[in-house]
Parts: sequence; structure tokens; C-alpha cells
Amino acid sequence: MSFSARITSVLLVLFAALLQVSVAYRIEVGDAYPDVLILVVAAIALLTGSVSGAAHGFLAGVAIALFAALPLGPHALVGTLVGYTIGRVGEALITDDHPAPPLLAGVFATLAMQVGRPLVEFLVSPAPARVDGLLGQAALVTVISSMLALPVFLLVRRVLVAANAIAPLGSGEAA
Amino acid sequence: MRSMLPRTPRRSKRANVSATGGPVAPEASYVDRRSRPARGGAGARARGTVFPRRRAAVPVRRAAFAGLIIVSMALITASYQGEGEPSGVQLAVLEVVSPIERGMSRAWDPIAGAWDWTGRLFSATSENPELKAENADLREQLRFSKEQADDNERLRRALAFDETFTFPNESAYDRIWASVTVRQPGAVERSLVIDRGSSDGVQVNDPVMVPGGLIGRVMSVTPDYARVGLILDDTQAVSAAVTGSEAWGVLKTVSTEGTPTMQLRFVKQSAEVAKDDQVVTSGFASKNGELRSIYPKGLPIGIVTNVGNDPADLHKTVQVTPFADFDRIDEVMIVTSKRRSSE
Repeated sequence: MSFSARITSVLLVLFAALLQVSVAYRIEVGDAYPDVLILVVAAIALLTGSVSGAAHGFLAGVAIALFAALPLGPHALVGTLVGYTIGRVGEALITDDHPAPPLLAGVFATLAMQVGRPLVEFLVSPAPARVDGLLGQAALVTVISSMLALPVFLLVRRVLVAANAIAPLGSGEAA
Repeated sequence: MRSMLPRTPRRSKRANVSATGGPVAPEASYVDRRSRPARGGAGARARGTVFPRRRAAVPVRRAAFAGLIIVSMALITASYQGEGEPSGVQLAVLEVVSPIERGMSRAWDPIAGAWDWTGRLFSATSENPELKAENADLREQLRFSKEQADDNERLRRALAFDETFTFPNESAYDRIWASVTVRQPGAVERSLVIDRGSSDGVQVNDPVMVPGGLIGRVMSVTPDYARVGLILDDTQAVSAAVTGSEAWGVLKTVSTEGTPTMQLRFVKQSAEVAKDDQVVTSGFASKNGELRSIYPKGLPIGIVTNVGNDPADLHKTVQVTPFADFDRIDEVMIVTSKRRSSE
């Protein structure tokens, strides 16, 4: 990936973090909201591989903690794990013209973030009520986010192709 | 299911040209000659690899992953040493991005309104176009008027509250009104960011109220912004008392099946508490003055809705319904101590 392509993908993550804090958190359905940021991380990881996925997951975690004044670390840790895992799966994939991998990656990423981050916080600072209602909220956020998984993936792919971060579909080139 | 996603338009002529220079079939153009053979042998290769990416060498990949995990752990350790409070760097970043966040939030409201407006417009296809436009225009005006009416009502309530609300020793405190800029919804975090900071006199631990009652305290401040921890957060506790009674205890929020409930705990059994009694901050202070509640005495919190009267229990547990509507917090009042300000 060229330097300008890296800058583009970093800016994409930062913009997604800002969008998450200022808009997505406001779209409340019950106690849940769409997690656009982790969908962007999942799409980047799926398209660019494990190392890039982990790095972007880490960056997303740090960015959301900075922008929303949350404790640094839990988001970054789970983001790194999610990005790396999806990146590894992406490296083994044959084709990206099938909707299942991005959809499943979005579902996995959202669920992992919704369950993993509170668990990390719980392990660091035990407070029993913090995990109450966690699964219900995680399920609702996952359902809402999964509806956005494919559009977000397509958008991210378009941006990364435009930035020459990845080769266009069918070009047979490594970016 | 296959090929449901739109394929990205090819950007290079080379992509459609075979090694011999002739055109290739679309399926054949998916083959990435430089990547490893696809799983499944020749059949899979024929379908082609369309994630043409350079894979990092295993040691590099493992080192990068391990490095990021270690840095994340270090961040967690550093962050929670300060009880999870934002660091100076975080506050500085918040100071920079808060205006952007606020701008994006404000930009979102008209988009949501326009989306509704568009939906309504398209649903009325059978109507005369002029009537539709006029109807939409009227709806837009109505929405705008309703928004203004809501704003007026909210501000009127805030003003009335400011004029009528009193509490003991209030001359020692100032009141600062602020608007909410960022909310953190969900069952886990319970905090919000307001557009007043230390340059306005806001200080850490200042109580924060809405017209009606107490909602929390200031957790951290920057010159122009502050983060408010809500009493709905299970990590918060308030020393509270029941008015007209000698009952007092510690008010905590517990979550029952995801629904937060406030409880006044450690109320002695002999204390008389009845339903509909008002619960206020107790302003607890030890005799030597070393221990003192950060909340001044007499700030309204809520109303008693249930009293646990099991004589086998050492203490009563009193269920409290807050006066504040935590689902809709737009303007807040910060009660800041004049004495601490002058210090």
C-alpha cells in the first residue's frame, strides 16, 4: 500500500470515528445504535489483510476513545483483535463478489466489539451491573449494524480502490 | 447468492487483456497470477482470486499483531490507573474535535428532517403536485414551529426552575447553564459532554441538574467542555436523605434485566419512610469535616416508589424514581461552589 493510500485509509477510519460519535450514537433504537466504525474496520481488514486490519482496528479504538472521552485501551484492544481476525479470514478468501463474507465480517465485528469491550472493562474494573443487559444490547446493535454491513463494505472498497490501496476487482494486481 | 455484489469497474485496460495481448473472458480476468493458488486446486484457481493483496511475512505479521496488543494493554493500564478518567491528551483532543462533533450533530438534524420530508413526498404520489409541494412545505413549517415550540417550552421550564429552585446555603454556590453536545447512549456508559468548561467556572465534581432534579456530577473539564457522569452509572453513588424523616443512606443505581433502578441503601430499619416521600441530597459531612459529600444538601433527586420492609434485613432498601428524565437531557444546570472557584 502506498503512503497516500495509507493516509486515505487512516482518514477514512478517523472520519468514521467522528461520524460514530456525532451521528451514529444519536440514532438510537431502544438502547442500541449502529456501530459504523467497527463495520469500516471490518471492511478494511477484509480487503487489505491481517496486519492492516489490526492496525486500523487499533487506530479506530484509540480514535473513538479520544473523541468520546472514554477510557483508552479497551476499544483499541478489541479493535486490534477484530481487525486481525477478519484480516486473516480475508487473506484466505477467494472472491469478494459474494455478499456473505462482508456480511458475516460485519456481524462478527459488531458482536465482538459489543461483547468484548465491556468484558475487558469488566475485567479491569469489576462492576457487576456493567454486564447486565449486555447481550440484549449487543444483539440489537448487531442486527442494526448488519443491515449496514454490505453498503459500508462497498463504500470502503470503492474508496480504497480510488486511493489505489487495493487493486480494482478483477485486475489481478497486488496493490 | 454468488455475484450479488456489484463488481468494481475495472480501472486498467491491462485487467481485460490476456498475457498474449488478446481480450480475456470476465471470469478469467479475476485470476491473480501473483497470489498463492486458491484453495480447492485448479477448479478454484479457474474462478480466480480477487483479493489481490500482499500478505505480510509471518514473523512481521505476528510481531505487528503482538506489538499492537501490547500497546493496547499498556493503554488500558495507563488509562485505568487514573480510574478510567480521560488523560490530558484525551482532553486536548476532545477540545479540538468537540466543535467538529457538534457541527456534524447539527448537520444531521436537517438531514433527518429532509429524509422524513422526502419519504412523505414520495408517498403522496396520487395527489396533485402543487398540493404535494404545498403540503410538504406546510409540514416543514409545522415541524420547524414544533421544534421551536419544544425549544421554547424547554427553555421556559429551565428558566422557571432557575427562578424557583432553592436549596440550603445556596448563596455559597453559582449556577451555570450548559447545553449537551455529545451523548453516550447504551446500558454500559452513562455520561455526556456539555459545552461549558473551566473557563466558565465549571469544576470537577460540581453537581449537575436538569429542571426537576439531580442527574450527576462533572467528571472532567477542559477550558470549554466538560464530561458529566450520570447518577444512572452504577459506579456513581450519592449520599441522600428522605425529606421529613431521619432516613438517610447511599443512593446507587442497579440494573435489573438491563433496566436501571435507583435504590437508597443502608437506611436504618427504625427510620420511617413512606411512598411518595421526596429524596434529596443529604450534604453529608463528618464531624471533623474531613469527609464531606460533593453534593450540597437539599438538591432534589426523586421520589420514593417502594420501601423494602423485611424485618429480617439489617437495613431498609428504598426504591427511588428520579425526577429527571434521563432520556431527554438537552440543557443542564451546573451548581458550582463559589469558595472552590475563588481558591
